[in-house]
Amino acid sequence: MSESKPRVSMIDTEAATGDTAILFDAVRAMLGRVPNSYRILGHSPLVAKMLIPFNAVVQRQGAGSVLSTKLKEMVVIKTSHLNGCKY
Amino acid sequence: MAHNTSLGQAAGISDDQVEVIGTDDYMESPHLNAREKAAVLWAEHVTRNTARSRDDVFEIVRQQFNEAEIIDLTLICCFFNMFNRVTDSLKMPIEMQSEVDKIKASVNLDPAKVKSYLETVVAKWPQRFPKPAPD
Repeated sequence: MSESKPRVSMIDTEAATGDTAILFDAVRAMLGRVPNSYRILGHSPLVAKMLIPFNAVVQRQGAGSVLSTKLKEMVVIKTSHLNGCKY
Repeated sequence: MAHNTSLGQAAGISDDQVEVIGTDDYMESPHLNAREKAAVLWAEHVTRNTARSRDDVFEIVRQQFNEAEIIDLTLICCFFNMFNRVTDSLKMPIEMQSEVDKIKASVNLDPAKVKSYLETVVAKWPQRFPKPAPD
């Protein structure tokens, strides 16, 4: 785990309420977990809920994309490497 | 990169492939096929924003991918350019390796789960929406 503290707080999934709780339940049902990034984006749940299914479909195979997860992950690895991103 | 190396390995990307993708010599690598090289090349030029002026690069991509594939390729690259900027700017912490590894279960996205997600979003549609804060 990185030592750095997020600049915007990470929401405790168990303590979430309202639209954020609905968002986390829906994400858990789709992905089996709530990633840290979504615990932060969850501060703006009505915007995050539109982004999350796009992320899922564009990155993976099986729900509409015409490319394999493998090929797309190669793209993601190159992109993140060039951007020097550790996440 | 942690999440994506993990998902990439689950999707069948080898350690040799991960390593060569991170170098400048990937176009000569025996570890990548022609389609994989073209995809990584496109990712590099889209990310550096040199794609628009490089017709020679696009020609290599066009020889390997049809138009629908080019759209998906460009969208995944641009989505991660956006997401990288978000995670870096907000200093999002990387998760424990055990948590990162859970992403491996999701190489294949079940369309029924996406449908169920969208149905939940519609069923729980808010009664009221927030008013924007004053500028």
